[in-house]
Amino acid sequence: MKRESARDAGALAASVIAGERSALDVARSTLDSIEEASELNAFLSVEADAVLERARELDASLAAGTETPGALFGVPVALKANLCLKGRELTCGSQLLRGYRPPYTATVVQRLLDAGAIPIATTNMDEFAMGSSGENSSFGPTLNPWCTEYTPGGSSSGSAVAVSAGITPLALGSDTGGSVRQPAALCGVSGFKPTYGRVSRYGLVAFGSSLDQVSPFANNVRDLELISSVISGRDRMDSTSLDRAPIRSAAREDLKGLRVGIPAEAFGDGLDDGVRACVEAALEQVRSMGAESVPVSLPHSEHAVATYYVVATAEASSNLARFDGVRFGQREDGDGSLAGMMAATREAGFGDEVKRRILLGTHVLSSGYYEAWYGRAQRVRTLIRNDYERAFESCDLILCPTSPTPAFRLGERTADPVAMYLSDILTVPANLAGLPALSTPCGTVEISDSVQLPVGLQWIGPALADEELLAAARCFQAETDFHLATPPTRGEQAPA
Amino acid sequence: MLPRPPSPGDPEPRAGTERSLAYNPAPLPSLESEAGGPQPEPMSNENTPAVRKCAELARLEITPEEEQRLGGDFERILEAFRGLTELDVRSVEPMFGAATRENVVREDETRASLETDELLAPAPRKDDGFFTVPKTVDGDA
Repeated sequence: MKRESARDAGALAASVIAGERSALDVARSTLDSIEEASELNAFLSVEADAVLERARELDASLAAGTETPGALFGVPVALKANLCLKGRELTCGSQLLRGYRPPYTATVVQRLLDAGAIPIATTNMDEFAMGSSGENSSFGPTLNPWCTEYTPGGSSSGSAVAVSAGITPLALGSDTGGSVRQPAALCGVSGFKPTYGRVSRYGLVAFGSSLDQVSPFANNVRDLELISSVISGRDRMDSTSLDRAPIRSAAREDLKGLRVGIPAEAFGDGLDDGVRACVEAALEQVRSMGAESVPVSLPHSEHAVATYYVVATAEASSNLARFDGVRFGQREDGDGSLAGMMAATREAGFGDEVKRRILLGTHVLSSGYYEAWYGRAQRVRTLIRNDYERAFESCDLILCPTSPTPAFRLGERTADPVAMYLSDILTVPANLAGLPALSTPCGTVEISDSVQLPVGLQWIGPALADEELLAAARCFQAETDFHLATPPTRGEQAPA
Repeated sequence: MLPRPPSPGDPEPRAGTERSLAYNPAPLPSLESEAGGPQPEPMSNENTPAVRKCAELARLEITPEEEQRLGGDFERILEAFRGLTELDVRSVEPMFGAATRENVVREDETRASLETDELLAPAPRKDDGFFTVPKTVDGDA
């Protein structure tokens, strides 16, 4: 596929609808790109026959002219391996679900199909979305296309890489504590977590149900608006889905008069110098475009990571109870008893991080510790949400870095779970508070003569201000070219 | 303030350093105790029995080596989260979800569902329309 169309979903759909390219041609060249980029380990289940059949159906329906082609007609979309598509293998990056083929399709995936998209393959991920580097996949780590000695971030590692490497113009991930925004930042693409409840979770394998939100990746904000308009909106199959219209592109031509909140807590000592320089330059750019910056305070930010990991692991320990060898996935017989079979299945099927989080979640919910940890975290969660509500009384949106550092080296944080959890410090608050947030590229830092790594600027809005948030970021991209930077082609890349 | 991110020059965290202070959960202030309710049960100071107990509750069959390793992680993680226990939150309402502040109900109506065969298809063992599991009742049936 030509590089330009591989990076612009709107343009690609237009060219297929205009008959300049067939959906089959697009599907074939995307499958070729997946094959060529196999060293990045971004994809898990690639089922070419089903993909080509889907593309032929699209071409036939266009030729028949019986239906108006949808907004994503002929556009290949990569799906994180925790989003169900009936009959296609879905592993969640876990050995426990090897060979599992769900009997139903997620609402977001059905909406993509209805809009004419081609679900191209499932993407690699930290097992059950637990991780910030992609390294917890039981199918091996995903590599960052900017330099393959670095992680792409996680947990939606493969989806970020699919877009960053120019393999697909769009991908879906899930963002529970930053799992789309953080890898978007570390791979130099745009990623958007909508307000909790604007996108259905039906058919997303649950991790932390009060935090999980299906979230898209793209190369630009216009494409994020496009795919968000397709996947969002009320779904009766998800009781937490809000009774709101789908996300639409909001009118905004510039940033004049926009009040941008700058939280001092996000620019503290732990911020990498290169990240700080890029983000501060971006803030200057935003001001030069007519926005007014306002200092805001988020005093409970320092408790966000602890609050998040108590709430998320508690919910995960409940949600992952269903993986017991009875209804889906693999089974180990163990000592032959029912309890022994379940324990042996879970021991063999789950990796270290999943066990660690199930144990932690079990502990914070257990008798005698529930109020001290889980009950308390739920109350601190209220304080964090209140911080944001107060901040939004004086600003329209908040800008800060997405990740305190650029991409880190493979293996750098795997031995220390606390260090890995701190990777999420700037992204978890939006999930705890249920707010819309996106990451857009804002430059690169030079690691060595041959290695540049991208930096992400995070945009956080008030609840339900998804449209306004996207529109502001779209205006920023109209005046800047950070989002046009692409990773060096693999042949040119030298090790750091 | 952001904690400083780790750098490759950092020493490895190990037992006895300030990053792995012994996990001693008994004195944790709990909301119940502040309200005059029951104190949390003291748990052993050794973290490996805590890990073993949670593993049993969560139906995880962990090896002695995992027990040691995950026990050490437990210590470090809970120590890092300790600041959470120092906040006064007695007057703060808990937040259970992000979307709505009320419970969600729906009409009790019949809807089409998946066929039994489709639901059973992904199961590792099944027989005649049922999931099959090891016998759960002792003795000869």
